Amino acid sequence: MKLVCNDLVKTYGHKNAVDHVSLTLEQGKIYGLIGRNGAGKTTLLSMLTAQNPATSGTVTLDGEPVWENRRALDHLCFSRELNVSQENGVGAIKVKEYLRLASYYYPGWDSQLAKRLVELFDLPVKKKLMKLSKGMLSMVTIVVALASKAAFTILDEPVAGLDVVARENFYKLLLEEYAATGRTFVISTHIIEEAADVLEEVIILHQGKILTVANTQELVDSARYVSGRAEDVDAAVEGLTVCHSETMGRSKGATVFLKPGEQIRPGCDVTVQPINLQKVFVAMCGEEAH
Amino acid sequence: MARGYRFWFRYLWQTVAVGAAAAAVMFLLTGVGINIRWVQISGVLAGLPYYLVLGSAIALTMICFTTHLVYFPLVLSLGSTRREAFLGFLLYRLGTVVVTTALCLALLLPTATGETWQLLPVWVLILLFSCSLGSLMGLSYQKLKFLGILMMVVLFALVGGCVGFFLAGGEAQIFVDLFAALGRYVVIGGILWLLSAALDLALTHLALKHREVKL
Amino acid sequence: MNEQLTENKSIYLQISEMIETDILREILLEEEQVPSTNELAKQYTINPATAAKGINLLVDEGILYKKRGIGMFVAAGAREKILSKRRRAFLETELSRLLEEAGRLGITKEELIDMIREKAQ
Repeated sequence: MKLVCNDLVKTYGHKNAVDHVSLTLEQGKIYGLIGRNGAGKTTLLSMLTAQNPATSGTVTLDGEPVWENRRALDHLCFSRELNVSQENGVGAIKVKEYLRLASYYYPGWDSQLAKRLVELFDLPVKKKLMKLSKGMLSMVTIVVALASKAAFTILDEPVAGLDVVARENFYKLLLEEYAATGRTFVISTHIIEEAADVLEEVIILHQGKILTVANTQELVDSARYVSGRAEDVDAAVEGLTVCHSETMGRSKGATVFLKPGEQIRPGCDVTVQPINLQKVFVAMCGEEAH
Repeated sequence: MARGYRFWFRYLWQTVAVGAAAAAVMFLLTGVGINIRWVQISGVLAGLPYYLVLGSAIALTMICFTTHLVYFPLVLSLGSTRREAFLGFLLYRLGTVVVTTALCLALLLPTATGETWQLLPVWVLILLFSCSLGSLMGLSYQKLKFLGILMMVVLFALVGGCVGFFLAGGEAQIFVDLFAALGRYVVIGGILWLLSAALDLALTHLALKHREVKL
Repeated sequence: MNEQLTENKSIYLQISEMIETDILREILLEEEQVPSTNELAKQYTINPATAAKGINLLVDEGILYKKRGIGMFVAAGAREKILSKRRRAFLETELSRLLEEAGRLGITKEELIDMIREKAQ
């Protein structure tokens, strides 16, 4: 199965929140969608699952349009971030009721798993959603996502509000479920570093546009931070893709991406260091800070 | 196929329950006022269907209103199609009207007279009107907040006025007369309802098509 | 299999090196089964594909071998192979780094050899 979007656009006013995005999500991978606040992550994911209409462009699952298509929607689950502070009343629904409603709509709903997770997270099922802490609400969305058993399951900021132990537990649960079923997961997050090792592919969204879709390890492996005397650094990285650089007096640091076969010019007196996904992300998306 | 509609059937039973509860509350509240004048139990019982209609009308209005604000985005976020949401909402409303009317009939059967049957269309119309009205209120609240709020205030004032009237010891007979008077305008009422329903369905359909999920 | 992952090196390389180190220390014995990719993935919270890449690296080098339907096993002679590989790596990487830093500090070859002799005693 493949979830494909083609030239997808969402316009609010005069601004393209999602700007001509084309993407193919394959079965059996864990994808990470990373982007800054307001990059258009939730809008993109909403359109991929037919929760929001697109201004233009198409979304298809195995060639069939997703919009208003029950057969396609049966394979999709987009567990949204629950924002109950707004005056819209979803907060008045009890946890138990919310899970029951979810079970109506997902054909593969695993009530055993839902029950196990509720116990594991120690969720107060009789409480209304608006009485729950941010972390607890995240756990509710995680329960829905995992128990839905949908072939393509999307989680929007699943670790928001979770403490470090709960985050680690979430990723372990996710990997367990992934190993057992081979479902596709898409995780949008801006807590990047912890997620980096879990994500097979990473999609970087910036100002509504896709900057890159890459194998996470390959992307991180191709990135280097070169530092030293400015002239030496310039010589070492000449002809390479420099993404971001900063200078301080005579010294300079530059983030470069090596294409296959390329290398930092040997013999220059510079320090070459590997960098992590978070720094790759900042190098790619942090430009306008200058 | 039926899966997409389970949600709405669940709310059908809940609305009937809320309507019955509202009827019970009104019955108890007004019972205090009535006791003095209506000593006979059978007379009080004969009033019960009126309360049930009014209670259900309030419940329907409220839930139809909330549907636009809460349930539509909720079911869409859980993977409902817009068609299922539209039809489900429609079935839910018709179902509630049918169940409530059936309950009223069951309550009336023991004491039914020819006049009672003439009232049936009035009840049905009141229930149908609440469906369209609640939904239209929800729609306007979303687009123009003040209009929705205004409609709500007027509605609550009407309901509050009724309850206040009963509590002040007003004659329940007035409502029986009012219902009877309304019976004379059933045809006009029916046409008005058809118009409001058509407007509501068209607007709801349009709103659902463009609806964005925000939870 | 209880080392911590660091950020300074590709995860899959760290996974394969960890298994090698365990074989060198005889925590994993020859002809013994090694943890599956899913077990490794869960233990280190990494993507199974990354864990598999680390394991496959060792399969390519003949250090591990696959028993169909059962899992991965340590090959006979794996320890010897790892030892000679690490010796070569020591010569190529560690020693050249040592020499480079010595050069930068102005330590002559003779001085360096003396320092090593002294330290080793």
